[in-house]
Amino acid sequence: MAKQLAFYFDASTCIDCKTCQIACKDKNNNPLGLNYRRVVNYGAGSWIPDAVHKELFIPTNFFAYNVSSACMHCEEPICVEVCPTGAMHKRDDGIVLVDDSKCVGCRLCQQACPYGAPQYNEAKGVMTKCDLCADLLEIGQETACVASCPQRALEVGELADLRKKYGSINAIEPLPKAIYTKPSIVITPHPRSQYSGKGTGKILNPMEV
Amino acid sequence: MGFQDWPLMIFSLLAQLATGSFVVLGIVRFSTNQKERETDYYRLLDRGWIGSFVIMVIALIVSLIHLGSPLNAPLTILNIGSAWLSREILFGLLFAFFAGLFTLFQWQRIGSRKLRDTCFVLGGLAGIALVYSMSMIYRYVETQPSWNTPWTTVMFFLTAGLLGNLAVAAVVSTNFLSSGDKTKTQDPWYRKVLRGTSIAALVFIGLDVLVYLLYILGLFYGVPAAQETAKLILGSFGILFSLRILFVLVGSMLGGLFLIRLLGNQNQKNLLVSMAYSAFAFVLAAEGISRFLFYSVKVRIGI
Repeated sequence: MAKQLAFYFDASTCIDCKTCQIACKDKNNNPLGLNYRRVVNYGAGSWIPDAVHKELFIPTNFFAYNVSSACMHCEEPICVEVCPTGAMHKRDDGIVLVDDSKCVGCRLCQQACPYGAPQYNEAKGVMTKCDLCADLLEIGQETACVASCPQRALEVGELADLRKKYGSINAIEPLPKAIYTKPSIVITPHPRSQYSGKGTGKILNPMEV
Repeated sequence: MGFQDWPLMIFSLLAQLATGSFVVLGIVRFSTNQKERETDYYRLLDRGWIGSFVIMVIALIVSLIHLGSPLNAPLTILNIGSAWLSREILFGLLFAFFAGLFTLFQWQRIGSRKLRDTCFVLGGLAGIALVYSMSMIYRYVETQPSWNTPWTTVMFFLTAGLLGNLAVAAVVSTNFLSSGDKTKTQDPWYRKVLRGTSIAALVFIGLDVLVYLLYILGLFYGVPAAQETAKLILGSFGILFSLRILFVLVGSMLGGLFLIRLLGNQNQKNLLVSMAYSAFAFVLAAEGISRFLFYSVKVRIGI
């Protein structure tokens, strides 16, 4: 049995098509505004105006890349720590789940999680989140996001195995530093990726995420 | 930011008002000597305790409003091991229980003095634990820099202290001054209580403004998310911030005038009562604004 299941994400191949986001929303039948997986665009750059040719602007320091982010099924999940009822819990295989028969809907986990993973379902009155498609994994299938990615930029596996295969980077901008929750994520950075906390860019689609 | 934060704001303010006034009334009680206790107007403290208990019960009911599934509320004390929110609810219930028990015993003069004292001390300790664990809920959340600071605890205790003292001063002044009896308005016990609570309230108000400004300053020198929070408070929410400071200054001036008139033996009754109540109202409004900013204006680390 797995000890800590985890996502792998390849920022160097992601093309921001957001198929993973839609596949996830479809699989979980989520209403408007609820997205367990979101693709965040991150970047920076500016223009230098030409003194003589007023219509001419020279681009400088441009970069942009994407991070597809869902629940990190953290090793030290802050959502589990702050939950008053114990509805938010971590399974033996590392998956962090909400037990909606216990959840009181106080939304403190939402305030605490730096990845925006627990999301409040107004109609149900409880928190909901990515469950790593545990039902699909059980019958030997891939998660909705992994199966749908045309770039093969996503993968699910045992954290230790993924680290052996892809290295152990777990924090690039705009994700927070890993110190808060020890996220179970393995990332192949984009060539222009910046280390969390040392970023010079900003989230380019804030309204969307 | 939406209406989901209002129940929390009202709960935290009322719970702090209840615990603060409960403890202040206790200090008044223990510093009153046996002879003064024989007097019938000493009974007005009982009314204060009833008020404090009722406010706490209202606070607990209001706190249920922000829950998506209130029927699961009994489960919220299950995670005592790691969640400060569970601890807060436990101490909140303990405070309400002991405060209620003590109020009943004291009001109806049931049981020995020792029994009542024990209930009071247990209630007071639960109240202090309540304010502490309430602040720790927010301090524990490392990813919200405007919560994750020791100032949170300091501010919560200051709110309890200043609202408690002002409430007791306002309630006692009404009783003191509404009595037509000339001898009663000169009664040393009333004067002592009013003097003590209004001086304490003024000290707490001073500390409260100072600490609030230090808290904002701390945000300015904090991590980027903290700086953004400070910019929002002073920028988009600048009007509320200014009103918060203005209200607390007006409140403290009214409190100061109240004290000067009291010491100067100028007993225009209605004026004094209005001053006490409006000082309480202004400071309550100021605390309400800063609590609103606390809950609604925050920038979390991460995405």
